[in-house]
Amino acid sequence: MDEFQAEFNQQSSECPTNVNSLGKKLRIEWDIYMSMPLIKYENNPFIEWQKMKINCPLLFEIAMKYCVVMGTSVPSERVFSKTGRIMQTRCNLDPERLSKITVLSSINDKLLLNILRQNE
Amino acid sequence: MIAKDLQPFSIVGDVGFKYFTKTLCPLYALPSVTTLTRKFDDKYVDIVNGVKKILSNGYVSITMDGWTEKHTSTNYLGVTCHFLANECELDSITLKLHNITALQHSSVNLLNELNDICCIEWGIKGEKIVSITTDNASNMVKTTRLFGQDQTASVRCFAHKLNLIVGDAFELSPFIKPVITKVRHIVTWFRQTIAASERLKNLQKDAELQPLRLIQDVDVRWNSQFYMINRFLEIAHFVAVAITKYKAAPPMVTGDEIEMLTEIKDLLSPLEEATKFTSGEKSMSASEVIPAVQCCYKSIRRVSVSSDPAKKLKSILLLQMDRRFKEIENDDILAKCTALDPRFKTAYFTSERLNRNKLIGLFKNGMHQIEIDLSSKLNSKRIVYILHLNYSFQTRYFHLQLIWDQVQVTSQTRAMKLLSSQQIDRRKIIFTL
Repeated sequence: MDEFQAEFNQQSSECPTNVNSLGKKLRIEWDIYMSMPLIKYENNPFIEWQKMKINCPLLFEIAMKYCVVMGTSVPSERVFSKTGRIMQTRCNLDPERLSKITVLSSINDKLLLNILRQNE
Repeated sequence: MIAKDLQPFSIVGDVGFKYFTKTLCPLYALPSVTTLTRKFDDKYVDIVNGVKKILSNGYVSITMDGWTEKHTSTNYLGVTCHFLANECELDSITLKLHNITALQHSSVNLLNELNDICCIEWGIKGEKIVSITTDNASNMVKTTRLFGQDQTASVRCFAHKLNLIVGDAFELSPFIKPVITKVRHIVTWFRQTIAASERLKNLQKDAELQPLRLIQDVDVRWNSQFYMINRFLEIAHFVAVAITKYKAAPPMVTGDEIEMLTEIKDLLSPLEEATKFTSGEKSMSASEVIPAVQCCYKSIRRVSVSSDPAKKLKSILLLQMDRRFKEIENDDILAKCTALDPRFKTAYFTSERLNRNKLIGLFKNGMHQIEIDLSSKLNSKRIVYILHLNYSFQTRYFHLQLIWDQVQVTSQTRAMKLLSSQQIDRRKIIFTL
């Protein structure tokens, strides 16, 4: 009996189910994540993450946090080129209103419709 | 329509538009410009409130940049925000186009503006902002540092970096300038001389080709220089024929120079591609930076050049890239982004530093923040969620353990039966499995 108990205690301390430390959990998830093949460049990484969510819940949370990071400030520059076009013909526009127009025009159509519907 | 098609408010006074609405809906009375403006402002508030709700759900990142409008020469600060729309798509909106006076460019002022825009106007909490992307200007970088402190990372724009690399490389290779100036003169001349450009068009038509026009470059962007050279080389043959007819024409580039230009173009095209590659708004773009750098290195090294100037340019380009990108893998946030993109993972990492332990340490830090965020929202729904997370997590690993190590598990289950009284937790897991 004692032998069994000793063996079992040792086993259970090694078994990942009893892992409580964040680092160990992440290490296991990372190994699972890395054991999966790379997906093709054209594929949507978000869909892949949805599939992986069940195996790597912690990494999934982290990935969803960092996926929003932008590598370039090109999006802001696009705003300027759009505004530039407005200003060519309407140079007397009040800056405050100009800002409002650019904000509204930047909102995705689907999102805009959703919001308008909710407000009604 | 005012917002989406960027029509002016005065459209309600336009004859054509009046007729259009009259035909469409004869009984509808168009609002006056003042009413329309007021309605527009009301609607704006409604929509902003709707967007605020969506933004408050998750993490966001921000990009900002300064810009001078040419017509009225006013300075603007543009701020955009990027967020996850439905777990499968990124979406972006512009937060503000802020009019700033020249005196306000100091980082403290910019910081205040940014605070006003993000936190007060749009109600985004500081800890929810993962990163702020700006160009390399010192005031911008300082602003993001001040704003972010520990929570928000500052990312420097990759496209600007590429721009600086090419700019510096050109600066350091004076032998290239005369050729490019020559091309520029020809392009300018063609654009000014109608007869010549007409002839160029006809020559291309005669050869049954879609006529292409020469592209003039703009000072600010090397991309435009690249496009100018590219287009020039495409139709250089026709340009040469067209140019010989005119006495006043600038001198045509020689065969040697054409060869050199082709090689310059080949050297620059990987960088141009990298700019396009990472400029996407709807895809994960920070994760693409490190792979893009590696691809640039590879393809620039692969370009074979024969002329001396091009050889020099190649080595200068590589040196400049080393200077700007040597530390890129030490940028924790970019490394994290790339590692967590299932398209790249660690395939593009070259530095020894980014090993398994280091990455896990990085994730751990990121995770720490998430847990604080989750637990700070002390509503029951969130707590259930955390419990659920841990629970499914444990069973899953137990399951994996089962598969990995059959023998151990059998001995464990045998032991379990014998010592069930002491291992209640484990039993629960076994039964749920």
